[in-house]
Amino acid sequence: MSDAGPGDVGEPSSDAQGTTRAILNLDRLVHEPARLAILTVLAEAEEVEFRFLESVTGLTKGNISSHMAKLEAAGYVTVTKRFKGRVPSTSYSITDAGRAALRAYRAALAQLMRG
Amino acid sequence: MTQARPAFSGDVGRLAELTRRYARFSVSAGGLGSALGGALVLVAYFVGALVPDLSTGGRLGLAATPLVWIVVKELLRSRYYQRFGRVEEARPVFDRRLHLGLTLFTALVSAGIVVTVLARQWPLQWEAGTVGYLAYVAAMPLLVWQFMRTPLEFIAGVFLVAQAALVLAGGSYRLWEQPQAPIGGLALLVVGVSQHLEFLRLERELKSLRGSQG
Repeated sequence: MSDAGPGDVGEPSSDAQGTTRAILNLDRLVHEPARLAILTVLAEAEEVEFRFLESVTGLTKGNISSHMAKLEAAGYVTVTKRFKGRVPSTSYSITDAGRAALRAYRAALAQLMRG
Repeated sequence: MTQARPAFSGDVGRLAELTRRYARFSVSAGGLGSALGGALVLVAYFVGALVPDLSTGGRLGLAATPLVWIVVKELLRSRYYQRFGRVEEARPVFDRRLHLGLTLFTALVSAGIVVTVLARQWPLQWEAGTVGYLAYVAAMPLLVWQFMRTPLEFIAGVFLVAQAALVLAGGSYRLWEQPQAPIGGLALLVVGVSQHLEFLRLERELKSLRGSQG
């Protein structure tokens, strides 16, 4: 039989509280699936053109632009705009801060998964 | 009305792997461009060595091989291998330093050759052959820096440029004089074909990824 009294029922254990705290502490900017995908792609290259992000993530132009604006505001990515002949081309690079945020997010997630 | 696509729902690990593989084709993997370079090295090496009395057309043809290679491989790179959008490869520090080292070494050798030729032949007779020779030798470091980014490309490219310079000046390398060239050329040919096959697999995977994401 359990020793726990009625008052103990429903109170989270310290483990559960820790897990909740860890989840709440995840960087929400990185945690959003589309932004996580974008940062993952950028982390594998020096510079990535908009077209490629569109191709591999399946996100719409508007979606990518709005996520990029947030990532740029946080200092996680930099944007380069240039012309290829007469066609404008936009490319993105991950910054050191972006790389560190992605690394920290992965580490936090891995720790959570380990329990 | 078009239906809005859902948020990304794929596997980020796979996304990372595909990006890394695709990015290689911006710098270190030349595919068919490399295969062409390897084939041109073999042609330039054996024609230069085994056909002693080349016609003017033949000489000009051999002299044009490095330029043809560079133009075709760069076009293939930008129009074919990066057609889903340019993704510049993040190269390891060692590769960057090696490339810089090879460029500096080439610059040193080129400068030495140009100075020696100018000193020996001064006052210079402005013959087309000599000017062509000096132009190719002087341009070599720039070509290495800009277009010969891997060791195999370096071996093949430097040979093509050197052979082109020599051919313009009226000579050519003898058989076995530059043994690294046919070996490097053959290796580049094989590596290029294998890279191209890898690109075809990658292309199928990228297309299926696009398909699966609507």
